[in-house]
Amino acid sequence: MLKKLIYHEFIATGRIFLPLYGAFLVMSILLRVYIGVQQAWGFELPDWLAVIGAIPIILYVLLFIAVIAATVVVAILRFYKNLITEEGYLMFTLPVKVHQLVNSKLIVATVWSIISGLLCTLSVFILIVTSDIFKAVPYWWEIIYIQAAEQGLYLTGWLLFELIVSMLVSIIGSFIMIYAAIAATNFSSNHKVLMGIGAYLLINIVLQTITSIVMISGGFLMNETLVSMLTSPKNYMGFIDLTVWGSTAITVVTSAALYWGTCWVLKHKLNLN
Amino acid sequence: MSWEFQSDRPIYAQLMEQIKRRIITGIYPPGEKMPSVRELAAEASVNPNTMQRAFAQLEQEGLLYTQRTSGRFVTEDQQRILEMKTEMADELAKRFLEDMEQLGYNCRQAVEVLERFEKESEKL
Amino acid sequence: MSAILECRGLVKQYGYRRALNGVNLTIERGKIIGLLGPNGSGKSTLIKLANGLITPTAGEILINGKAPGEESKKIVSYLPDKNYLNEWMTVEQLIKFFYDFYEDFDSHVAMDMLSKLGIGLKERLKNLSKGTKEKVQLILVMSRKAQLYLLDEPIGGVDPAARDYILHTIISNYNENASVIISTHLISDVESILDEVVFISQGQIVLTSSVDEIREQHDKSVDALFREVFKC
Repeated sequence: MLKKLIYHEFIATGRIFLPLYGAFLVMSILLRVYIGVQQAWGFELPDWLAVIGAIPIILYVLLFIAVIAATVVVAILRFYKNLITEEGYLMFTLPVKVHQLVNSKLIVATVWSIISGLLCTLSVFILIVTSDIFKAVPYWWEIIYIQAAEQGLYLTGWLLFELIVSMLVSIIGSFIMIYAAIAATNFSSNHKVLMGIGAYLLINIVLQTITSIVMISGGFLMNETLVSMLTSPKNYMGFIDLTVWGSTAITVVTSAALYWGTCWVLKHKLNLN
Repeated sequence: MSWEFQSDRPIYAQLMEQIKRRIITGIYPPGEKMPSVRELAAEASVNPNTMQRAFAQLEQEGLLYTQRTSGRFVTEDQQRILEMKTEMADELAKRFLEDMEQLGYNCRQAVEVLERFEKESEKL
Repeated sequence: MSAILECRGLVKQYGYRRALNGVNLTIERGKIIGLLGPNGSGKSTLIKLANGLITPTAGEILINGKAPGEESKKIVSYLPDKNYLNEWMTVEQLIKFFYDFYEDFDSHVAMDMLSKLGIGLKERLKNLSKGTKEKVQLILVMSRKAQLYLLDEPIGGVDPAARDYILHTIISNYNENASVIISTHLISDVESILDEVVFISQGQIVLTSSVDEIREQHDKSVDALFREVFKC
């Protein structure tokens, strides 16, 4: 059933993302061509035309923002509209488990976020790529590695893995936070949107407080270790390890709690208007 | 012939009456297979259980019979159909006389009214 | 075998308002039941509780002996009293959706009924008229071979021809061992297709009886009795 839920969730969200992605890619290429043409011919627009000349850039920036923002906006709308409003009458009468409903939304939202991120990177690449940069592709890694190493940052496979995991966890964690806030709307019959925003702020404050407390007390407890880490450049990596894994662990624990709460509310306190 | 129901009597009783009329008028001829309960219920827009009840009652009265494998049929017994027709005619006549009585006609006077009608329709 | 639907001391409170106030009710299999009451009497609340869309404040509601959940949803086919389907979906996508999630959904039955009405499979729901949308919803709901159909106001606000179509669709499609609960305040329209009626008023059941019993004992239609019971 989870597979089917995911399939239908992709259909419902793909109709927004796919055209948006298409437009974004086309715009990236158009802008690249536009800039290329401008440079090749070396013309400059008169002032009164400069505004029009800026339109492609503005369009591109707007699309760039839209591609990023859509991942969050669509996630909110899909969870709220599809589960809490009239459409919830259909979704909650399907013979599926509540956590499957949540999982399908979560997985699909995460996948779109990753694709959006990759696409933005690709788009920037399209804009800045020159034949030199392109030829240098095989050496990129080396260049980046050396540059980072000079700052005391050693880009090992382990560090990359660490960063990817922490990024994924924070993406998933932020969706779960949104979902928990939307689930809380079941506690109000008449002011659902207000309830959702209030719940989101509250969850945020609570999480920040918890994180700060853990970080600060952790800092006190490991005072000496931390000082030695920061004072010797060789231990720099250890410090990064500690903070990244530490904050990831906190996010995992709080997200798990919020996830459980979301499912519990949707199962035991469902209150559709 | 469409199905119509009055509000003051059980629906199954009205269904029986209307099926009887259809047997008399030959819409459901003797020996013919009856539509299924569901079909007829859908046609009359009534509950299938109610139609079932009407059918069961009509079977008891000997107007329908069930063949275990092939369904439900109208009786081939012409005599029984004639009897039923007479019963219905009697019922109608009785109701007519009751209504006339309310208007102050006794039985004899009511018949006179009918006879006058007979003469008038002969003239036409 | 347990009753298809059973309520024991069922209470639902919304803030200060008590929508249901201690409902005890048992619905047998193979019956078409009218859940009749004025607006705001608790009909929709009862049906939403049976679907697990809201949770009881006290008491319990059982479908086939179990609280509403994944198992009950497999055997209950529900028609809400609002447009609950995704407006952007085509009729074909909706059929696929129902087919994917409900094992008892028969796409052929659905497509047959849709084609008889001349509703194209490629039509998007949002382009259909209000009446047609309601028919599409009903067709999807009645194309399941469910054990319990819960139809919330299926004939509210439709014209007489559409009403006939809807009632016809209900009696010709429900499965014989299944029960159908139709909530409505338009009694004279549904009376002839009901086995039994349940009168609900201010969150309480005030009468349960068979339609023929009412007509035999009171010499009047359910509609007339309803008007008497709920006289303002």
